[in-house]
Amino acid sequence: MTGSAALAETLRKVFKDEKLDGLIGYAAGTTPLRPRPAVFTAPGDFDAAVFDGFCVQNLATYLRRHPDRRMGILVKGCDRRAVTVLIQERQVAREDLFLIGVPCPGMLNRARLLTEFPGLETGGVAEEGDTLTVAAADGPVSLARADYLLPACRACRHRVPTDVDLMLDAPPFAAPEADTSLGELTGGIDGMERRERAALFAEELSRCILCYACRNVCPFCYCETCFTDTLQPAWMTPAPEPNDIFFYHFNRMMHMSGRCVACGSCAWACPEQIPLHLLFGKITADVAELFAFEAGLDETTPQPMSHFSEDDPDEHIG
Amino acid sequence: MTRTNTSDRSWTLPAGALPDLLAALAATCELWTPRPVGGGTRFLPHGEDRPLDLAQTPPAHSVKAVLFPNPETLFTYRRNGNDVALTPPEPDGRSLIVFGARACDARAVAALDAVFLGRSIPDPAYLERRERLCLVGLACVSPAATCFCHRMGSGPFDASGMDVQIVPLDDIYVFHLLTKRGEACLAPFRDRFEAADGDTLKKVAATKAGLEGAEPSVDFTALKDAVKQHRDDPYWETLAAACLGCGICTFLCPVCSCFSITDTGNRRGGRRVRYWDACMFPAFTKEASGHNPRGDEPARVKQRFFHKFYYSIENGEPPGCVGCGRCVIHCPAGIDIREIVSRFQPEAAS
Repeated sequence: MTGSAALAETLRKVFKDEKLDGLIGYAAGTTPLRPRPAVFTAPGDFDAAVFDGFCVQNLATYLRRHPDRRMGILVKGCDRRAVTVLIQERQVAREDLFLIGVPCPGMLNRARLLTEFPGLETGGVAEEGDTLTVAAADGPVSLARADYLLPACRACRHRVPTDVDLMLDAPPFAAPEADTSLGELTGGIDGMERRERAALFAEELSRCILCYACRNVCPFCYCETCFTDTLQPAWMTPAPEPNDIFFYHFNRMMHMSGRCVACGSCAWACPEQIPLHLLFGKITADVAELFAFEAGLDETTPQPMSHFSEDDPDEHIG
Repeated sequence: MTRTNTSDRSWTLPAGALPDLLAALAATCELWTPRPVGGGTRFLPHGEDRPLDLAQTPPAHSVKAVLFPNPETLFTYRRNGNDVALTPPEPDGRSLIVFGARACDARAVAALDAVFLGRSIPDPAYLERRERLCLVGLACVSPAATCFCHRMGSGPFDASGMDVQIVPLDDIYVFHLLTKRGEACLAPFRDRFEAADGDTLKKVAATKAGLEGAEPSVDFTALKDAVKQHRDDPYWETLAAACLGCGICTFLCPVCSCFSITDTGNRRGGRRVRYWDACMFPAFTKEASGHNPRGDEPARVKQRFFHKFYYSIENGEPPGCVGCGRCVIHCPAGIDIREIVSRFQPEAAS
């Protein structure tokens, strides 16, 4: 499916038949491991269309940039859930969108692959079935796809998007579904002493440069003015000092509770490889446990944090 | 005295002797070495806690992070009644050695100098470190696929900006002493080295020749003119369609040096702190009235490349890109500065 003529043809046909103003998908990048988000706006654009195991970034992030236009968008399971959250939050309207679903094969950990096999930046990765073939220095090596999934993808139980307008065939490569859960993935945090937990995040967040890639890549960080940028009141100083870094990440985490679809884009975009999936996986697992709620699965169930129910857990009030 | 086939400015060190040399340097100098932390390698104050990593090309952060740290305390303030005492950080008398910087990062220091020292009043915080800097660079024998220093008028063996250039051969390092400062830093350790012989220097030359001339350099003047001509090109909007407006490209860039300043503390005392800012952030240009002269992504994306390839050159400063490829590696949206250069580079240069 990667860069196949069939994908280009399908998307081009949808673009024309549905008279779309634009179609958000992935296009080939300048190196094999870096497909990039693209807004296709003319039939000729689609020759660059690709879909492979490196199409991590949640495309729903771009939807709000196209108000009053009829947009197509390629959605994996997590992109689709993000669209649902945006619809619930009245940021986009379902009738303006044409959703093209793709059963997600589980996205790959590029940073890890490049660290283990430095030649891949030019050689690329061949994906077939549940196997990856990489060009190592001394010849091709076969790897189990499941071993190289991004953490969020290892825990994903909603790879196949639902309620789409057109479903593409599953790509001829995929890892078996979910070998862990968000709770398991982040369970170690619960077992830690407070100080140990604080030390873990102090260590990981010490690398944060406040580039805000995690915020900007997130489909739900769409505030016109983020709390990081307000001057009156100045909630935080904008310099990357330890307290401010903590304040930023933990506040953003709070704002995500009941909304995060655990797509993992934040951790993926982080240039410092900070394991943000621990924070966001944790809050998503907690919401699932406390409120029996997973964000973005249907439009009608209200988000727990924007809705009061007499049954809401209140043990913490004492 | 000097034998004709050895060099008194090129010394060799057995690879195994490097850790001891670094430990000795660290005892008397402020030494920064590239070591892995959290999946990337960066320049850290030298220590035994993490291994040396001279392989990752380029390191996650450049020499910029040493010379222009983020954040950086410019002074502390303390109020006592109606008096306010301002205390700048203690100056450090030691040499500041950055060990293992590649050609791209060494070259970027000239661009930082233009910003921080090229005006009538030099920046005191930058100057304090710059005057102590001894850049012990490393010839780049395995450039990454994302590197393009050749096109930016340099190359893996470019030694400009370095005080010492190290070339790794099989089991030795060849140290080329390029400046008086480099000599002064290493002179106390002369007895650890051998003078490089003719064969060694030939091997260095052969290694260098093998890495040269992959691509021709751009003509920066022609590039500047071409970029200017395309000020209103719809291409900027195409580029910006995917740009997330984060600070990755500017923060990891060895040349980008925009900053902001804030106070942290309370009425009694605190610190004035400088930190990296980015032209990709909307707040960077937002005015008190609420008006933002660069109010959308295309304007901000265009600004970044105009600064690199138009304004800097027009102002007689070094080009704003040294071809390290960090922005190519880390841009989530896959924006590749090499494509932009290729698009605007006039055919004549190729």
